[in-house]
Amino acid sequence: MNIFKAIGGTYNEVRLNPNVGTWSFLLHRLSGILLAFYLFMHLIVIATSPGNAGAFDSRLAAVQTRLFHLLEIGLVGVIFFHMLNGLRILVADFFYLTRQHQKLLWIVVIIFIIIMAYATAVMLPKVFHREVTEVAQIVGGLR
Amino acid sequence: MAYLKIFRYDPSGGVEPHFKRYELPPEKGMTILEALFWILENKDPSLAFRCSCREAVCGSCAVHINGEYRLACKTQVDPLGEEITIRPLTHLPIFKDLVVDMKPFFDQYEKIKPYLMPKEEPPESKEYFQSVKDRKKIDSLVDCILCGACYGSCPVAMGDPDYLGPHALLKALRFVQDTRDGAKTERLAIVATEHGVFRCHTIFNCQKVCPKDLDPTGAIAKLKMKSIGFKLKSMFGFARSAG
Repeated sequence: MNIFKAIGGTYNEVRLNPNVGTWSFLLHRLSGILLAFYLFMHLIVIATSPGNAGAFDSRLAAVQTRLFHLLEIGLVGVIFFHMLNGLRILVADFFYLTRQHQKLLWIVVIIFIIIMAYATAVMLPKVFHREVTEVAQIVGGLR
Repeated sequence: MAYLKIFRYDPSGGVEPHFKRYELPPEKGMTILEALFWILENKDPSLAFRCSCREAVCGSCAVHINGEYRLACKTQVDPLGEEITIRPLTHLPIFKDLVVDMKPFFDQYEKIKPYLMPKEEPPESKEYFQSVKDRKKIDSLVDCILCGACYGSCPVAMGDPDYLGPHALLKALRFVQDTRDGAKTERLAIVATEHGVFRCHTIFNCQKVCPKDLDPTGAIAKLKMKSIGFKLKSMFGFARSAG
């Protein structure tokens, strides 16, 4: 199956089966592909980094930009979605909870929102080159 | 007033795939199948669709109606709104309009050997005995009418034409759990493959669309566990030949 046929077929599946299951399957696949891509890039950056500490730090400094800090929040989202949805499927399969899969999905969504709210609160200040404690002081000053 | 937007296609007659819109008479309690018959008799005698029992038993009239695979005979026109879109089952070649070639579907079904292979001969001039408790193990599984709704809704069937499909796997569990059957190992060897239970991604569409409210996803989950046990036994070389 060529890539265009696969994309067209996937679009058709989502269009004809607009169900929770189809969406979670599609997002699971996409998040899996993104994670594989990230892992590949991560390994390349680490593997091609120079041996001494100073040069290694300067290589990593290249990814300490606003864009990369923002992408890091996305990375947390992708990792946790893939992990929680994977657990949901395992629980449904191993404990024969297939009839309760919608409830399991809601549990996943709630846990995901809590994790993302915490991760964003901790990581978003970095996007604006601020520490979490600095933001806490600013918020405290506003009160 | 309701309108039916029906997929039309005739590969042998040179008609390209398109949708044709038909106006329906206001009639309370009309099913989609009755609407199709009304169109056939009053508007367009060239319309092709399948049906047989008209009471959700034969499974011939499964089509895609407004975002879901359903039986045309079991679906009322009224609750579906003003415009109703009808497509044939997907993942199967189209013969004409709403009629698809079910051969790939039944070929997959035949692979699981969908017939009883008993352990021994029945008691003389009597049938095979099965207790009420044992019969209950296959209670819901025998209700499958092989309509193809689950196969059409399964995204895995799109990517893997060799995938056995939810229908065949559900029926495989029906025989694996039947206490009269003696070919459990043989059947597990058929389903415990990359095109069998391990290809299922637990998407739940088959469960959502089943017109008999069966749970093919749950059946596959059970078969997965049995298949893992079978594979482990085979690996360590103590798989029994039968039973």
